[in-house]
Amino acid sequence: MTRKRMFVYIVFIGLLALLIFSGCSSQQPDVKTPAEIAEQEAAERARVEAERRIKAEEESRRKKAEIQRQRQIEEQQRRIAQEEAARREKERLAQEEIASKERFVETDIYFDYNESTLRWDSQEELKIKAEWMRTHPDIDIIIEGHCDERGSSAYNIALGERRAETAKNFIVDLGVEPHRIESVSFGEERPIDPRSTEEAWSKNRRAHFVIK
Amino acid sequence: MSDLKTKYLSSIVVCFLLVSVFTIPVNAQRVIDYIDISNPFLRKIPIAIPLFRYTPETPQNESLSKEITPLLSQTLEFTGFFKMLNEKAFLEELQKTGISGSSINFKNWTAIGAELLITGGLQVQDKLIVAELRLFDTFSGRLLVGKKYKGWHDDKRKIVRRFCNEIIERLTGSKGFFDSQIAFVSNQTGNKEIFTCDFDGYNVKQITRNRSINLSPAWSHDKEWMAYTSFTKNKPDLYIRHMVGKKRGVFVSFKGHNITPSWHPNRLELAAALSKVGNSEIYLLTGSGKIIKRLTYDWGIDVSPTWSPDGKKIAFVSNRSGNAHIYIKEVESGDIKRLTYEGKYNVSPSWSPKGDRIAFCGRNNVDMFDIYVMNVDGSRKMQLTKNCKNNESPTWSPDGNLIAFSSTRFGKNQIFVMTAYGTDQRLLLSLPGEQFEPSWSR
Repeated sequence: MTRKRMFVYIVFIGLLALLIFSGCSSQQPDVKTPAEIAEQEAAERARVEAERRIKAEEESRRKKAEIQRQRQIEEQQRRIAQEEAARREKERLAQEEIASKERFVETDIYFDYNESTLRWDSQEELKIKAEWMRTHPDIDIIIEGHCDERGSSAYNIALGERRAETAKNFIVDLGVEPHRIESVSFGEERPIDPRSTEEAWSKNRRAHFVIK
Repeated sequence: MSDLKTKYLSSIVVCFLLVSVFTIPVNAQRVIDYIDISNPFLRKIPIAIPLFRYTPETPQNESLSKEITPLLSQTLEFTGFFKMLNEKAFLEELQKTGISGSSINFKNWTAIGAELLITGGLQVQDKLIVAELRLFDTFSGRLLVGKKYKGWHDDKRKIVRRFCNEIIERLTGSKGFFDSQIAFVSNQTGNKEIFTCDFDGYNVKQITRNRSINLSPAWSHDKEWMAYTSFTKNKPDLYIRHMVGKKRGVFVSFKGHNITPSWHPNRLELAAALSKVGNSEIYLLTGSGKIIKRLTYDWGIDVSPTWSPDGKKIAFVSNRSGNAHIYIKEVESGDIKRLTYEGKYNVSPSWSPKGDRIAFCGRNNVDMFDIYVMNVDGSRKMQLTKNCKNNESPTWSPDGNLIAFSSTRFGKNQIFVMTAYGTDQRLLLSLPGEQFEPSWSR
């Protein structure tokens, strides 16, 4: 900016000098020597050249600024996109976390009639639960053992406890600390399905997982 | 029992409610077993109970007599020993003849087939009733029991029951059960709570009100305490509750489950199944819930102890063989014997107060449950219920002649009573909801 101003000054002073010079010359016949003309032409060329250079400089500065601005915008957009992606990832993880927790709590394991041994499908489910517990070391759980309504309610309390204990031992064998797991039996007292059908009974013979 | 009786009597005397004024002298004679105790239900004894004589002769007193006479009849009929003769066949009326042996023409009673006769006289004075009740052998004309009771109108049930106790003791040589009660589980309130009723289903009372799950009630031998399983702390624990006064109850809440209490037959101690070692084992506890000793050592489930009447043995359920079966353990020596081999599921043993039989619940070959009895060595197994859905949780009357149990024969679980031979099966209680796990007091 100061350079520009200086340039203006120079031009102004130049013009003033020219005026004085021409004023002086007006006193003389308006005849210029070739040297003078050449000089004048050179000055003119220099001026034009200076102007052109200044313009070019200005242009390049402007371009540079434009590029920089563009870059800044791009940078900003990239940052926003990154943040958005991070946020989405976080959300996805949180949702996954919720889903895995829900699965842990909502998926029961099932037993055969009057049995406390683990069926193949129950073992598979317990492996998933054990893995989840290993990745969530701060969480303690309660395993509830349940039975169907058939037979003695007293015996069913003992059988339900067996079921809970069997599930607990399986998870402990897969590397989960035993102190994190409590077991309790509700015998036949808390059926999922209160009907007296095979279907209901098979749903009621279960171990249920509760997060403390 | 005798303590309780003394207490019961003294309370009555103090209240001046019911006093046996005198005992009408009975001719000295040897005790005749009128009732064959080897199978008392094979032949029921025909008995006549004519409408009691009442004085003064007013319509109110007549209706009182018409209330008390059938009450006596029903109470005796409950035992399953008697065949009640239809009053329409009776040739004599007590109102006309009188009630003493000399005024009765026994031929008029033997003629209609009566082997026993009960005569009763009610004298009503203001609010008091004086009842003179007699039991006769109609063939010999002998007076077998004669009693006189005095009490308020509200005491008529007590009077009837006390006389029935005398009759049964005279006829069988062992005490009647008319003072006994039955505890049971009912979900009529929406939660499983403990209730009690008299032996005949009368006088239903709710005992627990914790809106949790309460199971397996068990009476102490003196009926002062009741133990049961309760889920009030969200796990199965034992609660020991004072039934007659306000002594503090006891919670037995070891780690794991604390279930199936069974009181010692003559001490304030109980056996129960605890799983504090990680596996259900039977322990002997004091009446205040302290462990005296561990009784079983096995990897299997051990639950549901029941004492022999001498307190020397317990029968219990174990799945140590792989399936649920009934075993006996001698408490002192530790000897164990397996009793059941048939089927895959035999549970809920109940040792008869006579000592010779054990009732239990077994799963039959169509996957339903029935009541069985067997000798204490596992022999002479007998099926008492058949083809009537599920029948579970047998419990003996104090005299060992009846068994209460739960059955789904009418749809929902309800409490029934039958004789020890499976005869005379009848509904004990008509209550809303379902009723489970009857437990008969001593």
